[in-house]
Amino acid sequence: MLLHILSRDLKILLSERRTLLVIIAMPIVLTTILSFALSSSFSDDPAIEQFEIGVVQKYTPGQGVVDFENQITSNLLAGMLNGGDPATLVKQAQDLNVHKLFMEDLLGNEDIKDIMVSTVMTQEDALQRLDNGDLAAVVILPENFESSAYINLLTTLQSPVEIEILRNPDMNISSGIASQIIESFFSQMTDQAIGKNVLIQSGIQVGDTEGISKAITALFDNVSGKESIAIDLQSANERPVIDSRTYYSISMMTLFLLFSAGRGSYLLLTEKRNYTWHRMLVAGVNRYAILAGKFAVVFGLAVLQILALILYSSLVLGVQWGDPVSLGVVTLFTALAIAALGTFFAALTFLSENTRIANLMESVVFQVLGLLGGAYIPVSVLPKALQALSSFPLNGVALKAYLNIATGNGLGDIGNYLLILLGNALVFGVLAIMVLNREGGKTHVDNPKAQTAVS
Amino acid sequence: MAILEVKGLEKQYGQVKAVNGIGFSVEKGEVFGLLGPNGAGKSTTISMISTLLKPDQGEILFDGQDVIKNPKHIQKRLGIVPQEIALYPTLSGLENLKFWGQAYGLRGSKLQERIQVVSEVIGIGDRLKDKVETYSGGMKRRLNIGAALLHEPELLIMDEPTVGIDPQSRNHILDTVKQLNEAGMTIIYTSHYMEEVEYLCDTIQIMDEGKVIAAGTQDQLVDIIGGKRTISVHFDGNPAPIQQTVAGLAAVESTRLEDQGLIVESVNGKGLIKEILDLALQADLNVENVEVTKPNLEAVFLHLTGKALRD
Repeated sequence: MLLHILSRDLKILLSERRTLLVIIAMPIVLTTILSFALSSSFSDDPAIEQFEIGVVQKYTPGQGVVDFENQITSNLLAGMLNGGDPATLVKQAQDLNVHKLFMEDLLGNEDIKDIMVSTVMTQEDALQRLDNGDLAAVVILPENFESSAYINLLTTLQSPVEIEILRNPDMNISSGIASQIIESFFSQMTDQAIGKNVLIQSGIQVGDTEGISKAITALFDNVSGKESIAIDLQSANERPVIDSRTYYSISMMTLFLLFSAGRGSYLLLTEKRNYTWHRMLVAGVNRYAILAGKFAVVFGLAVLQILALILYSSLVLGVQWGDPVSLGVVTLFTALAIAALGTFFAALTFLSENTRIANLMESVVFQVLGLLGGAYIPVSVLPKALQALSSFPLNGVALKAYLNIATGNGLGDIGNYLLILLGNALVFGVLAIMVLNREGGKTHVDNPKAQTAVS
Repeated sequence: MAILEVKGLEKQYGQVKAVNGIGFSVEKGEVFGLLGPNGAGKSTTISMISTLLKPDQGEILFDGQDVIKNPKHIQKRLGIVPQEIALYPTLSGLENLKFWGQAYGLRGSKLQERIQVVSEVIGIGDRLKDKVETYSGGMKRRLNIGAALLHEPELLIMDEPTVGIDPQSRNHILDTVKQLNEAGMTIIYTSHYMEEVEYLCDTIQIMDEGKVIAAGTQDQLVDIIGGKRTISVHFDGNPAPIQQTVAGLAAVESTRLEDQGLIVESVNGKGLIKEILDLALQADLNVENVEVTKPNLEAVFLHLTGKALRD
């Protein structure tokens, strides 16, 4: 009977223009508009709150000068200094102090600290805190960071330095700002290194080594480097970074899933108003089978909605949704939670015998849940107090689960979200049964309000 | 043989006793009428028989088995035509019949076959594929009946099935009920239309304020008021001069004037019309119309309760 109820109700719902408009057309339109209108918000946001980054120093501060001295006094390198005095270069390296330049002058700068606080930590701690969502990004400075920087900046030689920046995909804007600050610092350093090379080469040709030395000193009043200082910018665990199309495809989908649940609220009341509820009971159809039928209907509606939006965003907007199996599992859990929520609304509406609850949900509650769950703007941009509430709305949890899958995470990384979704499904499912029990054990005519219909 | 027996049935809503200790039995193959005004307790009685409502007191036996303890025993063998149109308006007639057939456990070719038969019985075969919301009131009523016939119920309960429809559809429904009964189906028919109950029912139970106030065949019920007849004679002038004389005739119980008509209540009308016409001739009154009304259920109800059925 469940399948017959499901097939009948889906036929009814999918023939309604309003339903199709709300659950399919609206999210597609809004996704498209928001994706393009707010694409810039995903790289810059002046209203961003202070965030933290982790700095992993694989080098020992100060050791770089010693290593640099050893290298330039070695026979091999000494011959390539083009007449430069090693002692002067060591003095210049000490004055330059790349460690201080990065850690104090850049990261310790008061203006920078207003938005980005940096903490030195071990790589293990940094990755753990990044996974926990405490850090916007992690900068990993390699063992040769200092010594290679001196070679690149003070000689014509090049020593590759690979700096890694791991971004937190859930803090897209903050991690973007962090990477831009660090990239820009090292970009300047590269420019200086190139400028210095040109200067040395020109000076050598005219034999003015003293002039070269002064010019280089002046040059390093500014400092920085590239080419030989490579920045490896990645998302944490090499996960892709979310863009506005991906974000809004998921956020609008999860928001409008609530409307599918809301549409479910009318299902039982309509049966009652059409008197088909009573007719089914008289035919021996169990009331819980009818309730399960409504659960199946909202579940089916939610799955259809998700599939439609995945299809549209993939084909039209080029959104990558991530691993299909993980996507399927998240979809299953999300649809279960939405179906249970819809069934609960349906039972409440059935009990109250009016559509006030459903109207309130659609006009106010879902909008608030949408905001808190990050449907309109990423949760990381919200004030701290509101951010704390973002774990409660069903749409917010589903959004996080889908974003994780889209950024390359697997099911193991979203176990907590799946549990929350499953918990929601169970809680709302049980509540729906309890509400129906309250109304149902006596049947409709025991309700004095319905008595007139049968007197 | 009784297919349904109801004993001491009671149902109370708050302070209102909707059904107050009623009892009756329905014989296999008969059309059993439940007659009474709105609020008499007919629908509540039907809701209890159809297992939708649990009685406060009493017993309902279907084919000898207790329906209250074992609702499943009656559910699949009972067809119910509710007073309201219990259909899905945005689905077609065919889709509705299909769903209700499935609700009663019909599948595959059996379901198709029953839909075919029922659509012929209710006479909407040509509109089956249209949405129910586009049907007239009468067609909806007929489909409402059809949905209750798909599983070939042994007992069909029809609760005010002709409310709010045109005379043509009403006649079609009444004919359908007759045909179903002739085919052997037992029917409980509730109505506040006395003519329908008189036309259809073998046994009639009259209810008012939750109680059974009279029960029996139509003749038995009429006998309650002593077989009185009403003779209405209309003249071309005022019949007042002969009223006294007519009132003095042996069979006459009462007389009253109504415009240019003389209304005479009598116990036995045999020969009375001739006597009235002779008196009119002597008074130089020309007779325009004579009408004899046999007592009906309306009169019985009026006699028993002092109010009209449709009050």
